[in-house]
Amino acid sequence: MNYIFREQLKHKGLYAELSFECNFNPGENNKLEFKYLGENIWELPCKMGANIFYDYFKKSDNSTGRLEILINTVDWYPVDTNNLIVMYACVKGLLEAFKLELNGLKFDSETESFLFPEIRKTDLFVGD
Amino acid sequence: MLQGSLKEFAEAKDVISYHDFSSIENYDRLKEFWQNFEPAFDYATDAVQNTKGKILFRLDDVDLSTVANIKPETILMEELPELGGHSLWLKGKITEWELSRIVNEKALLKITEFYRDGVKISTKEVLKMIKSYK
Repeated sequence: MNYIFREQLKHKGLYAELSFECNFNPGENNKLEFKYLGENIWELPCKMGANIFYDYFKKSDNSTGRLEILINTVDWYPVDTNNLIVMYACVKGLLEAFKLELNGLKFDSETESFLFPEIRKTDLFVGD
Repeated sequence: MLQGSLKEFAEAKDVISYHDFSSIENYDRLKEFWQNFEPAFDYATDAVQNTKGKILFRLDDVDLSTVANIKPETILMEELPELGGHSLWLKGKITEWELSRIVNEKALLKITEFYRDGVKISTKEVLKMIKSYK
């Protein structure tokens, strides 16, 4: 799968493109297996993004099982890409892959801020 | 993927790609003041000129018809009416903008070598190809 986060705020560019694979094995022990094959500089935000996604994922229905996430590549541009952008793109891309939508998770262009809902929020998912 | 191929190209030619701009002197200090990729590109090309180096431009996957229609002096983040108010950056036409910048700036064109499928192409041929889309 591919996920592209690309936003322009006047002359400011925000960009990250992730190529990844993910697989959920229901019935197996609850576990996140994370693998990363991209450039070293983005491994940490991808790992963080995968773990944050997994925290959300565990709150969804039928989430008992082993989750495998493999990040193949992160495409990036100097200045336009940073750790926060990569981490956000990772969480968003994984949510999209599992067709999950979180209430409140967004990039707010007015305040130039990334918003992440608290994990214990009662109506965490859209449709709850 | 383009990124992987560009990396292989840079490694094969023993040059740096935009992913290695941090190796340019003072780059990391200055990039804290930049808002987008354009000043990074300008700084890198200035560094090439100052060190009497060469730019090796990989033409694979570059949309020359877009390059032909970029007006000289167009800035990367400029909202363009012909793109529905979007910029070349937002449309993912960054490489096309880079090539446009080079062909419209004599000093840069003079120090650039062009490659397609790993084979060197003359500057004259590249300009001819771009012109054919005008």
